[in-house]
Amino acid sequence: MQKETSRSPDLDKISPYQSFAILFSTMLGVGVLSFQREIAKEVGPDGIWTILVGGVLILAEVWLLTRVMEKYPHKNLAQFGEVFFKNRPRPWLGKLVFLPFALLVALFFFAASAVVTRTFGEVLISTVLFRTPLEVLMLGLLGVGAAVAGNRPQVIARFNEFVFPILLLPLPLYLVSFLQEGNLDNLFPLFHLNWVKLLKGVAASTFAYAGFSVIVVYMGYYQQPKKAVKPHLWAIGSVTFLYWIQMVVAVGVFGRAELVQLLWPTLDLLKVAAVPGMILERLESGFLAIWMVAVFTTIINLFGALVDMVVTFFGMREQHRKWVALGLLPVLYYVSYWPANLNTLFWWNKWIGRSEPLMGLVLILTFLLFAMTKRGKKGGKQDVPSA
Amino acid sequence: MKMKRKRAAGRGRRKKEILEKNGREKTEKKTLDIKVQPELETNTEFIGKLLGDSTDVVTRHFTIQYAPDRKAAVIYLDGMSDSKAIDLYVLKPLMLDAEKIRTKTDLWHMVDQSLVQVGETKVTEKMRDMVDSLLSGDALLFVDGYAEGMVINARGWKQRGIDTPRSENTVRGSREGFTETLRVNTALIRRRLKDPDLRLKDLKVGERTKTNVAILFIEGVADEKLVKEMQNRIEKIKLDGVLESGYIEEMIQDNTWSPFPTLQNTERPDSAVAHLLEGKVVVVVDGTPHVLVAPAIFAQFYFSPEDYFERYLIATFLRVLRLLAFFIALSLPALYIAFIGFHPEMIPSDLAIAMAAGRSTVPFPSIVEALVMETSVEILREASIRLPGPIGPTIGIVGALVIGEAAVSAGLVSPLMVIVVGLTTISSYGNPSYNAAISVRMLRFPLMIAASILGLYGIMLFLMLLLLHLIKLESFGVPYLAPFSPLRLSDVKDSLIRIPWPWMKKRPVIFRPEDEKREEVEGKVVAEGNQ
Amino acid sequence: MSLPLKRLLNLCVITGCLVLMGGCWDAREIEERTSVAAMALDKTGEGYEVTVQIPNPLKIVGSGGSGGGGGEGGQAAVQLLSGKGETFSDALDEIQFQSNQDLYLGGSRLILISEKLAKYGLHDILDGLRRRPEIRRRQWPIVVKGKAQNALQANPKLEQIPMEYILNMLETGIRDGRFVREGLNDLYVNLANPARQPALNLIEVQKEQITWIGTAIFNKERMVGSLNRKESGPLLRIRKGRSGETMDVSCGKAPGKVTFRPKELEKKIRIREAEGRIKIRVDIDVRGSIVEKTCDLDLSDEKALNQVKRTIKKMSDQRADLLVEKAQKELKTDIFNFGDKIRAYHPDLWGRIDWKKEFPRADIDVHFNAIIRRTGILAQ
Repeated sequence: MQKETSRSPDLDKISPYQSFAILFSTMLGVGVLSFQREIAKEVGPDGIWTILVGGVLILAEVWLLTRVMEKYPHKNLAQFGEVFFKNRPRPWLGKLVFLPFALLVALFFFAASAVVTRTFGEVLISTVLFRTPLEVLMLGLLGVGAAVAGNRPQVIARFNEFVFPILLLPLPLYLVSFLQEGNLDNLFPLFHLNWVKLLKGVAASTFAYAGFSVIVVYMGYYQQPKKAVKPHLWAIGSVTFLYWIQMVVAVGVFGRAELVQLLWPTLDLLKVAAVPGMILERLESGFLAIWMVAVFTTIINLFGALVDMVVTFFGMREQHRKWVALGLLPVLYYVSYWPANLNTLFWWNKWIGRSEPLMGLVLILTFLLFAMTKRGKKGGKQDVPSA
Repeated sequence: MKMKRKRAAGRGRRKKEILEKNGREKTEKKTLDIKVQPELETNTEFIGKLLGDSTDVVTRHFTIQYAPDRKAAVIYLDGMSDSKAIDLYVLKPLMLDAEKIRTKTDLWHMVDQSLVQVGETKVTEKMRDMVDSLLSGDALLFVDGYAEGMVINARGWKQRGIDTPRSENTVRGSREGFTETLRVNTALIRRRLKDPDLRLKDLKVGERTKTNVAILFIEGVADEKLVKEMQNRIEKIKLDGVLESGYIEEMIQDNTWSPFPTLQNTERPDSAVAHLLEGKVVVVVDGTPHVLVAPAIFAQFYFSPEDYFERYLIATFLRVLRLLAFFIALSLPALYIAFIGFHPEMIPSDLAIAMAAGRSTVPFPSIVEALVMETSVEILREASIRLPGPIGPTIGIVGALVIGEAAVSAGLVSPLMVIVVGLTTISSYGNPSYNAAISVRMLRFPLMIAASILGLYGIMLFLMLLLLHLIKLESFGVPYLAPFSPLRLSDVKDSLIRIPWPWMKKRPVIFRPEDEKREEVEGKVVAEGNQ
Repeated sequence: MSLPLKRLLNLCVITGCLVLMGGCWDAREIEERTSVAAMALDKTGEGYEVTVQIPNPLKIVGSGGSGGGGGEGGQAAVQLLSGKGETFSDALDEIQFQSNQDLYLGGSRLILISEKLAKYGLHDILDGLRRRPEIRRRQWPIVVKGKAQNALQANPKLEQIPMEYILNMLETGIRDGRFVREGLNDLYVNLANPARQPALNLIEVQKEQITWIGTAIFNKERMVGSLNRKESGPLLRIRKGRSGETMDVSCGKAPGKVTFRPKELEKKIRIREAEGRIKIRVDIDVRGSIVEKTCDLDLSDEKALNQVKRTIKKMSDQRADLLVEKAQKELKTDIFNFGDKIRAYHPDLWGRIDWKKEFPRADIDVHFNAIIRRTGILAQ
């Protein structure tokens, strides 16, 4: 371990707590503001448990994905081709075979970060900064995002780690608004739906959980990939819990009929809450500022994962990382500017949420398949992880 | 290495100068790298010429009454050396007692062995060493016929006594502060740390000032790599003059562009010892009471030595208070601008009306108002430091009260702005360390500008950038935001909170001490000794 | 060599540009906004008339300003602007054309709705309010008898800004449980929920006198009638479990009255379907204290106390029955929001019936049970 800097080796890896923070803050993104509406539209008050079902499903998928990934420690998705085809005469063949998967995931990260950016811009422009051009808001976010995403994943992980407690700040506010304005009647009737509706409700809740697939990149930098399951499950569990609270509060305060009419239910929740003491009167702007952190971490994690995939796939040097981020910035900006209006944007949001679990499944199956063929041919010879 | 590369880039523009200097230096070296000549006159003349016949050079020629009589000379710098000691213990024995000695021994041997009655002497033939010692306050003795000279420690200049530390006031704790003399400072540390493992490494920095620098650390506690790194960095310094530890700080810091200090300085021996015990390295520089401490983390700048002297609850309360002060000092004016200009709905209605009334006569937008006020307060503060002692506070009060009041009644500034500026200023003094407080004060301005463009959103964007910078920042391999990012739960015990001493059984791991346990130091020493 | 210098220069240029540009966007200094404190909505012919009350900061005491000095109160401290238009936004635009600064509705804490407009229907005008992000959800919509504009023109002396008088009156009443607690958010929710009905506070305005006169009852977005002070008490107790105002009951045989102040209520609603009708039974435990007595009843006597309790119960039941009858026969509106209980706890039933039609013929039974906790600081 002869390092140039005197940095301790454990600082060069992502710690379990950091992996927890990454997964948590990636998933906690734009979904927070509007997932209640999408779910309430499909299943009404039953959303307060379908969101849990959705969470459990994602939990299962992440568990599988983690178990598969941990077999190949210190490799991210872009390097997997090399792992499977390591002993073949032509190593580039492995890259080529794995290219479609890498592209698929990269495309997902790309689309997701673009949509997140745009959604955030739309929220700001429709609630707080009415006259500021959308371009400025999005470029500001993407610019700072690129500055962070152009760093090693370890730095991104530390960023997430530091910022994580801030994401929990609005939690008491939700509870206050529920205590002040909530109505238990709104939470009923429960269990009043058929299978089709249930499926729809669960599908709608997947949108809120979008972003979990960043682990396929960040797991390559984990300090203890074998111990990744625990922080991952904790992260999904905490997000599910947080969403559950938000769902209960939103349904309890507004009821289904009002909830489906609100564009950003979470913001309206804050308009309802009166903070004791009245130092600040209305908290939407303040909440948006905090929530911006949540969106920001989502963007940098997706963006950073994308950059890291590009860098590792082409085997670029560490100094070029920031140029990759800078180069992707205009493309990302252009794409995020694409959707004409909110409807198209929500459509995109929905499809990103739905496609991710599928993509995760495809990845799991592929990994398993490759692992099986490899084991068959090599007679179960264990791959030695190369540092 | 990464950090060094950066520093190299920062130094790039001075390359030419250094090259020039090196050229000149070489010629100088040539003339200095000579040996002491047997002829007395040559030596004294050489030194006289070298120092350009400066008036403070005292050259005393005399004769030693020793068969046969020998000419000799003592050279020292007036004011740097203790002339009484030279008279009594060098000149007197040489002049009077030499003739009483009737032995066959060589004179030079006798001079060394019994005539010069000073504890620390050194015989050398290198002219360079002799000149260096002379300039450090030693006296030189040449005797005709011997190609060697003697360096006699007769250093004795007027120095300031130990005084209370000016920059780090505490209610409780030692009143002793470092002085300008390296030895006194190391002694102050040694006196508090009677540990045989305390190590001092002396270095000389500055091509011309030849400033003495000592690296202090506790062997077996401080990370070996850290000590080596520190020594490397200091040895690489190429400067003609080092007048204060700040020179060294800037030459060895990790990031030249950062507004945050990555080395801490302290004027208090007790806090220097506390740092040593945590496994850090202390650098004492001759000529300044401010010693450097490395590595430094962000949180540390918000600790006061008193935090450890007072009971833990008080300490924790004070630290939380300081965090609050940090946020106020950093962001209050920016928040004011954001609320006024972008989010008036967040201000309670009654207050909003009052604010609107206060601002209605102000001809500028709030950003200009805030910038002007904050700048003038900064000027006021700077001025009150420069003002002669007793006037300072008076002018400060006059400036703040009179100008503020007049500005409000003239309708130039809103009353709330005065409150904001006042709170910000006071809060910035909540920071126990002066240099960290200044960096916060500076960052306030870009934050205000960010707030004036995009309101709270702009503030957050800027804070994100700032956070990124802080996360990337390292001080001698220790992440600046430790122990929070990366999170080291065991070190949080002494961060925002301070747990009681009985429970602080381990040193902070972020500084990678070789020995993590705070107790059982004795046992370890004994064990090592037995080996 | 000049790399750092260049970087610094770039930074300066960028910052300079941003500072200059920032001003064109959303930065509106607080004094550059015409901050509306209260809005009055009236119906005129085809369209609406919107009146806004704007406090003048300089005239308000204590706010300093140049020279400080005493401020003025009442109508002198505010300015009223009003505009007419076919829609809410249209009317607001007309106000904007009279205003020196950008109109800002984020500070509004009171929405006064004229009875005429309420009877015409709120739906259209509420859409204009709901689409604006700056409108607070935590403000009070109230119905004004007559023209809503008049309420803003009233000149009460106790508060500097006239609207604050109405606001504080409302908030005090709500805190004491005397008025219905229906903010804008509740109005939205009650309008959206098919099983709930809104009810707003109703006030009447004379020149210097503003009086709360009861509750305006809505059938969805249309006001269908109102309840007076005496009727509002039971409504509050049944609908929201609020205490309502004090009750005077007779002392029994002896002449005189006993005044009972309800403090806490415990409400239980049971709903079942029988013989093709919905049967609703409401049991309410009222805990409170006696605050006055004008007969020679000995309240330290358990028997006498029980008798008072019975009288309170009887009277409450009676009043409730009257109110239920009024709701079923006259208003034909489920003012108690029983429908929501059916929707929430009997979803199958809710799916089968049309509550709007069922409510008038539902069998509603309200039973009170008075519990006297205290009798003031007199022993008897």
